[in-house]
Amino acid sequence: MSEAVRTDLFRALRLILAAGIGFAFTNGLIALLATGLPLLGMATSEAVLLAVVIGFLFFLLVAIWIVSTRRLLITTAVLAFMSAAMCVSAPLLNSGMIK
Amino acid sequence: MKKLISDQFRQSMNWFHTWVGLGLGAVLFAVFWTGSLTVFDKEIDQWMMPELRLAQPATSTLDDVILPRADTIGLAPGSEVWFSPPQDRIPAYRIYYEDAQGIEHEELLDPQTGQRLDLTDSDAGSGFFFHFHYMLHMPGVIGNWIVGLAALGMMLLVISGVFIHRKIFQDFFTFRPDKKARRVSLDIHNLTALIALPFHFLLPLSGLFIIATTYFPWAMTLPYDGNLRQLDAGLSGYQELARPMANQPGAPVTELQIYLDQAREIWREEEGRTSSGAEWIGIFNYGDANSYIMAERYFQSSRVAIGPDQITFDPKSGEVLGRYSPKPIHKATNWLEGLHWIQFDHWPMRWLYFFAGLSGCVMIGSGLIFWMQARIRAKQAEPGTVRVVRAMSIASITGVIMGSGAFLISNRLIPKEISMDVHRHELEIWTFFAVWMACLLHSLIRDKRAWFEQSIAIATAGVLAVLLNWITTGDHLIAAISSGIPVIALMDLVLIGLSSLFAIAAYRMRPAVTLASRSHLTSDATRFPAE
Repeated sequence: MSEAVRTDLFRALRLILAAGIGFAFTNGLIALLATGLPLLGMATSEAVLLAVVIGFLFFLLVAIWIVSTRRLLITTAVLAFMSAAMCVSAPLLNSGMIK
Repeated sequence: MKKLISDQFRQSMNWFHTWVGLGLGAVLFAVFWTGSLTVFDKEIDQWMMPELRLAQPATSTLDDVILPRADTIGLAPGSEVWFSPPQDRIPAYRIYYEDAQGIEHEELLDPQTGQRLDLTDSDAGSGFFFHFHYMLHMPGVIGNWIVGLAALGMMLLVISGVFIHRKIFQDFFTFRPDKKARRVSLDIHNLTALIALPFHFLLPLSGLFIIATTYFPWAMTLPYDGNLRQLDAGLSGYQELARPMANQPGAPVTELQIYLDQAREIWREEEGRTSSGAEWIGIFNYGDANSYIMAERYFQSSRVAIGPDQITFDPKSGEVLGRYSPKPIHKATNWLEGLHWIQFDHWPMRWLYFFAGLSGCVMIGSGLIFWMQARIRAKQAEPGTVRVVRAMSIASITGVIMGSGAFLISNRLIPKEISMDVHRHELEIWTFFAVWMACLLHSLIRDKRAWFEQSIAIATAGVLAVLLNWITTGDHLIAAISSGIPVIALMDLVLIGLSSLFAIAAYRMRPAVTLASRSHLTSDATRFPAE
């Protein structure tokens, strides 16, 4: 496999990871904020809206991070772990298991 | 000293900008183009549905002509029915209701007589261009997802584009029309990108926000245990202001205008003279003893932020029953959404949106051309790849514009009543896609000469649409202005303007194409935008 093809494949992988991890991270963040902020006294509908606006901005940050990082594996692993943690803790928070 | 932005980061942004721009360019152009047209969707509706060209202001009121219509449409007891008075951009009364079978209906009524308007069966601007803008005319949510990906890509393209440029302000003021096509396309790309930079970032963001529930349904409805209706209920007053049915027949509602006036007065006292009135007024629990009236304004004409603001009234006593106003964060996001919906009554701003949208189209088009020029110059891409990318670019740029022109022309050519087993509006849409695909085929066959030939076709189509409007409706420029429908004259003028632009573009490309065809040259060293 030539160097150019390898570079192209690696870039394609980064793009896929940026979209996939970005989506998972945003999903988790929105869920966490939408369920967590009402516990601090915010109206639920307000928390959902704020979470979505913040979520989209974080999607951009995560995508740029994955595209530009020198250490793709570590960055991806950290972000994937954070996404999973948020996606798991949000329902627990919502059900009252985490207070 | 360590650099604030490393070269490695700039390089990452550079290839990202190239790859994503190339991959999403076609979709982005189609979305920007139809979005620009949607700025004038109601005006396109009037052009494509001549029955809506109602010049005279309404002499009837909701109460004397329109309200009795509710008794004739077979409303189920306890259902709801909505009425909307004529507005600047929709000069007809509207009724919206669900029948006993739960099927939704919307009727437009003549403001003079109250009779239902027999509209030409066309999706026109608010039905086709508007929906294409965010759904690409695809089934389900596939189009939403593609457009969502493109919108996200657009924001990232803006960010990466800013980082790529070391001298962003210098680039903004650089335009070298005397240089080669590659430089010219780059200068145009930079200029159009920077001149409307906030627009290119905020419009995708607000667009994503509007249909966010499509992308994050699980996360957004988690606090409501997955119930989307609960979320909707939290963002409007329909549930909060609802009144239970008495399940006993009640006296019919005989007046609505008084509630429209009352709601306007309440909002005016709070917001001052420029406050907007209700856009819709609805009767809930129709025919029941506990029926109630709701005045609602969603798209306010005097401000960017949209609604909903809702006030309910008791039709028996006339008293205010309840009010719903958005909470602080909802108000802020309503501003974000209003920024995208462009329903405010501000014509100069509307034109600015239109031109900013077109600048986005030019930015995307020039970016695609620059990619090809750069690859041809550096001999990086295979000739076959360049040819395919070029054909895709031509079809994405002039092809979609030509399809839109064909859509308008077919609207004027297809008879109002057709005896085919197909809906008339579907024929118009088929014409759009057939012409678009024909443009792609033409681009593949004719290669770079397709730029010139499709530009000529668009210039001709624009003029033809204006002529056909004249022939089929009699509303030529002067007639439209003198009979009080300047919107139609404006549409014709925009079509003539776009035709002229493409005629000039075709003329600029003509010598290069002629030279190439005479000497059978295959070189790409021709003038911009014919490359």
